[in-house]
Amino acid sequence: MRDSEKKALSRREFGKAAAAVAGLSLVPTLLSARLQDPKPAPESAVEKSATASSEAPSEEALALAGIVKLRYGSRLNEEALKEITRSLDGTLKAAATLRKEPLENSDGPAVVFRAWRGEHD
Amino acid sequence: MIDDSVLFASAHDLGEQIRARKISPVELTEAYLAKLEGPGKRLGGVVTVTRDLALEQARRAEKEIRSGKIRSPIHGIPYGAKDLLATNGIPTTWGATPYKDQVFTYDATVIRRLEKAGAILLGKLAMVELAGGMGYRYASASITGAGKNPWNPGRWSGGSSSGSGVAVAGGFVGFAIGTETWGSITTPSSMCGISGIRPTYGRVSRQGAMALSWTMDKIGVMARSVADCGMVLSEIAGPDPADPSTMTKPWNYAPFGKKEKWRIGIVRKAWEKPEPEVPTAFEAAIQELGRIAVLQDVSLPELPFGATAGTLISAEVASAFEDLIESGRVSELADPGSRLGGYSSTMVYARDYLRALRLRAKLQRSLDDVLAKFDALVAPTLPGVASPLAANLEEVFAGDDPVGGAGNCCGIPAVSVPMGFGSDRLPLGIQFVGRAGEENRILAIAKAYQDRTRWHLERPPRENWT
Repeated sequence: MRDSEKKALSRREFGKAAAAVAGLSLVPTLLSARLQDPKPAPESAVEKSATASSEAPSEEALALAGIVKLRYGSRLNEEALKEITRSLDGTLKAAATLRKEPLENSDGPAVVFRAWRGEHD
Repeated sequence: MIDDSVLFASAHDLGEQIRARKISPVELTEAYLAKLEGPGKRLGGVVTVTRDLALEQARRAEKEIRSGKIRSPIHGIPYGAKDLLATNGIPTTWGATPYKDQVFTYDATVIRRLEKAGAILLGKLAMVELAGGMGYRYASASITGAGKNPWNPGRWSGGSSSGSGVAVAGGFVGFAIGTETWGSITTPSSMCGISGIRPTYGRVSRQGAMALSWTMDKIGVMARSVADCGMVLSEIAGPDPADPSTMTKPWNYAPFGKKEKWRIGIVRKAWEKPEPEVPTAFEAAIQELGRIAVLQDVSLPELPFGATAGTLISAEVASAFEDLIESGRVSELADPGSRLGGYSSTMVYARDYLRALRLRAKLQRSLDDVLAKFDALVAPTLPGVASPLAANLEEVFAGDDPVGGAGNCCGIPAVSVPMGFGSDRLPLGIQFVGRAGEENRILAIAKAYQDRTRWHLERPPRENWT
């Protein structure tokens, strides 16, 4: 198995764990797809925004989990926070995947804002 | 007395018999109500049966049809609606305990359009809580418990349109309305051995429907044939000023033939680890399609469709259910995954959400470049048959879903139809995926396939649950 394949596999395995609380899919199968990563991420992207290990969450995920704890800690036990942290790590990995695809300044969002004029005339 | 075989007829056939006055809409409604209230409830397929409304609508339909007033091809046909569509004065639970007493004072556009077409609302069908938007691990993630598969009640009916799958496969309704953000129509359609269409994003108004992801939610049809899906979609599709995302042009089901053969792209690696029966059934389906189409293997572009769709849904669900998350009432949800999923979703950066929206436009163009070479792409709908009720769904569905991810990320239509049986004689499905706006094309190809096979005419063994 090539290194890149190992990496992709570990991301998927991690995704399975993160999926439990990821809150992103309508069939659970697809939960792990958030980490679908057809092209291996550059090491820098992985290091900066997500964990280098499939076991330990990244520092950024831990920091975000700290905010979740600050906001909602009174209703979350340690186990729940652990799961949320794993999920946050998955979210960050997904975002790292998105950042690998180049965008031009002119690539706008796939939504259209229209100025509104009510029927008051 | 309505025979059970009538209850399993296609909506198309029911409509013909109703118009020919061989079947009474009132008697048909009473027969379906008895099924829905009996085995329908036992299988976890229904939340609320709308008996009084159904009989009132049935009597009106019968009177009109007798007087020669035919509203539409579905006039007098009873149906069920996923319990996330608002219905005036009738509870709409969104499948979730925190909303168990929710009652709207208006009808969703889809409900209104079906009433105008003369269809009869039998009840509100069960669903995975909040359409699975918070994530879930178990089939029991619903206010009504697991949707039990009519083919084997020890198996799941799929989600999140669980009850729509149960009711159509069990012969408890003439057709059903489902919704899909990612897989919620195609999955139960495949698991329950029925036909289901996920239309192009914007084809059907979502006014009055629970919002999970504004940029990804679609409303579609689940029925016992492809033609039924098209026929019902005709009645609910079209522009709606109340939903600015709707496409501006009206749409009608117009199945068309083609002088030359269709061009179909085969996606062979849709699933990493399919059950052994899946490639066998898929190869047989390809053989059949080879008689009506020129076939060519195709791969989807290697782009982050799944990660993009996931980021969009995650950010949007955190906003759509902000009040539920902030109040802590997510703790009332049935599934352990659902109870925690919202918290991590609140932490998606705005920058990442916008990047996903920007990437999406690029992904749409790349996918369309592939689709433009074909009339449709085909792939197995799922990697296997319906899972056991108690299974951990993360383990059951461990792999990626590139076809569903790309299709839903880009808002393009798909039809899932039965393609045979897997282990324990449980149904398998094949999906036909088309370019945006090409519902008629994929419906025509799926119908051509269905006309050459008999899988959609197979019925579940009723002794299991009657």
